[in-house]
Amino acid sequence: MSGIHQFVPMLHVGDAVGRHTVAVQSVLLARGYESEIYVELEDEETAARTRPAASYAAGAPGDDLLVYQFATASDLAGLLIGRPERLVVNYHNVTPAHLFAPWDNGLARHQDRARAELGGLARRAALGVAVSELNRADLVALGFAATAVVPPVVDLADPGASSPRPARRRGARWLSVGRLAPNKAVEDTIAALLAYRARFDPEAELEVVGKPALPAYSAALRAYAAELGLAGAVHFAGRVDDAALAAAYDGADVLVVSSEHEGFCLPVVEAMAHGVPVVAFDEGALGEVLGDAGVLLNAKDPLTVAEAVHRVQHDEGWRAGLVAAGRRRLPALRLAEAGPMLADLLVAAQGAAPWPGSVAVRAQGAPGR
Amino acid sequence: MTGSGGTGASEGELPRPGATPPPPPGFLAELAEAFRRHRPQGSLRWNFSDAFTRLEQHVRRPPAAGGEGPAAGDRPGRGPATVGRAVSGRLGRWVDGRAAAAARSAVDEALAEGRGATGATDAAVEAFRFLAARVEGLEDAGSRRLSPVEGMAWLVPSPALGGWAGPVARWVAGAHRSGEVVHGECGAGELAVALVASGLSVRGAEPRGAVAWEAAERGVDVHVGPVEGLLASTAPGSLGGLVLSGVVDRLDLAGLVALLETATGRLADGAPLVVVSTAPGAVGTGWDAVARDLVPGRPLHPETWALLLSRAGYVEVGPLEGPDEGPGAATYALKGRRPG
Repeated sequence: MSGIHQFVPMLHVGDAVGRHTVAVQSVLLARGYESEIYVELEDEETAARTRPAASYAAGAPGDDLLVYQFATASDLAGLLIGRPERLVVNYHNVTPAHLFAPWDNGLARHQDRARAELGGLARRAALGVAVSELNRADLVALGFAATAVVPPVVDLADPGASSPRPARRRGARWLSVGRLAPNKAVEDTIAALLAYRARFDPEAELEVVGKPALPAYSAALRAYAAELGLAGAVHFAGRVDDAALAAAYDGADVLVVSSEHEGFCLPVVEAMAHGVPVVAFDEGALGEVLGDAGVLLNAKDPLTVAEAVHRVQHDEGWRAGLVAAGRRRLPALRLAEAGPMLADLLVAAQGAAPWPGSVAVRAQGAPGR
Repeated sequence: MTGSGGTGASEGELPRPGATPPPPPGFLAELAEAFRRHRPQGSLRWNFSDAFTRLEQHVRRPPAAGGEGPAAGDRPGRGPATVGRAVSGRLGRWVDGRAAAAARSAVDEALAEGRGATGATDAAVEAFRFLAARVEGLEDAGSRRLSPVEGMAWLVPSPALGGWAGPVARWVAGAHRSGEVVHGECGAGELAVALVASGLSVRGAEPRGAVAWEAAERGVDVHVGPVEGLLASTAPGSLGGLVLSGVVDRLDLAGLVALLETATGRLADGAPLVVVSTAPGAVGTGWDAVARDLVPGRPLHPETWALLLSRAGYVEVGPLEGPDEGPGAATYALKGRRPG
């Protein structure tokens, strides 16, 4: 049997793309396919489960399907464009360059390069699979002939069927989860905490969980919190393991998302699973993922966010309704089916089966297969 | 705001913390600006890296008519805090000069070797990249030297003005002719409120965000950040008056002289200046261990301020009568006025 192999610049165990890639491999192996993960650069933590991308070229059968897990620029794009095998791009989003530019111009240019590479891949790929409709729009705009949406394949640990907790009236625990990058706009959450403490709850605190992506941005967040007088109220936890992340959700009264750009936003889903209400700025895919299971704000000035959190904290009926809506929202996102759905698509893209009925594949222009 | 679930109370039913009005939108913009000043680099289209690329492109193909310079409004994104880094700024200018000389030298050398324009540009770009990295290192070092500890203003807070608000407000209002009066650091706005009550237009500068929030709730127009940044963005000769407190206790001598130089340049002819300082004798008993360890400078004696103001051309220099006088006083105030 021919193989379905994945390519990713680096395989990180701690990020969403890395976890997704490993989960997809598990599904494919369980179905009896050969499935390797090829990387441009090895990560020490995952080196044992990856192979160098350059090692694929020799002796590879032409009927393999290659899947590029795309979230950043890398030399893999050129390599894959030049290969004869069928190609599927699994697109996880590229953060717009202008959000990085004031912090790290090299990285900003990298984002521009990523988008250019995605455009190049569009002409070669039989299928582009996006993790959200927002991302699919990117693929369509760049000219992918066939596109589909499948949410990320993640293993959401079941936190148990805990009943909604009443909110603490004082000392509210805000939570922010995600890579510390400028598109997350954590500074807006910090400013909102200042407003919340000034107007509603002087003991409120914020835990910021996430791996620093840019040293300058992380340093600025710490300095800003200190300048605002929140050095003792904003806790930067950095990257944490699954158990610590679960504990952070369990200890939180609200997840606050101020992001300027999100391709999916897994923390929102995790918060729903843990029964934590979400207050989020309606940008990127946030509305698509959150639906009506949280508070979506069309403005995120500190007072607006503080008022929203206060309402979540104060109105226990409303809070319970949000938590219940989150629990209802989870099955609608079809996360549990994502692995089989994506595998079905990949098998079909390989030419071994028709497009599966469980996923809508939209074609534009010339067919991609 | 949209949301779902439950039988939520309407917005009007939410409890409010007393009758305190929220800060005005202008203050929220100031709060956001206080974060943006931490950005280390320029916009996407105006930075070293982009300049290098444009340089390389110009050599490989003729430039389009009209050039490819930065668009209006797309100038370097360094905020006042970065621009105000006096030390790194001077170093930057020095290095810029060296960079230009090095680049010229590299071009000359390459042309002399007959490698042509492309080779010359490659060499110049390499020289610029090297020097750009050096500039970045110097800027980082300068920034750390000027602000080695985050949130210094919180660790070493400004003294409460207490009974000084009334006397200072009365003297400034009496000496004022026209133009906005600045108070830095304004704390929760006690003096600013008194100055406004005297009919003056007042802007405060306060580096402690939560304290600035309190001032804003009292209706004070507050710049969230050091007073040096506010003064740097003020037009020369435009200020109607200036009160300095808090910041004058923390800066070292070079910083104080630089602050006075900037302030003097911003004050209008005849405009009053007041310095409210902790008395040097009060440092040993009034400052805690953290303050004594972290403050880079020491408060000056009133005689020293009088000398500095006189040498800077101020007239009517002298102590301001207030509630806290005598040899054992914890604070003192010194006044002066620009000539004219």
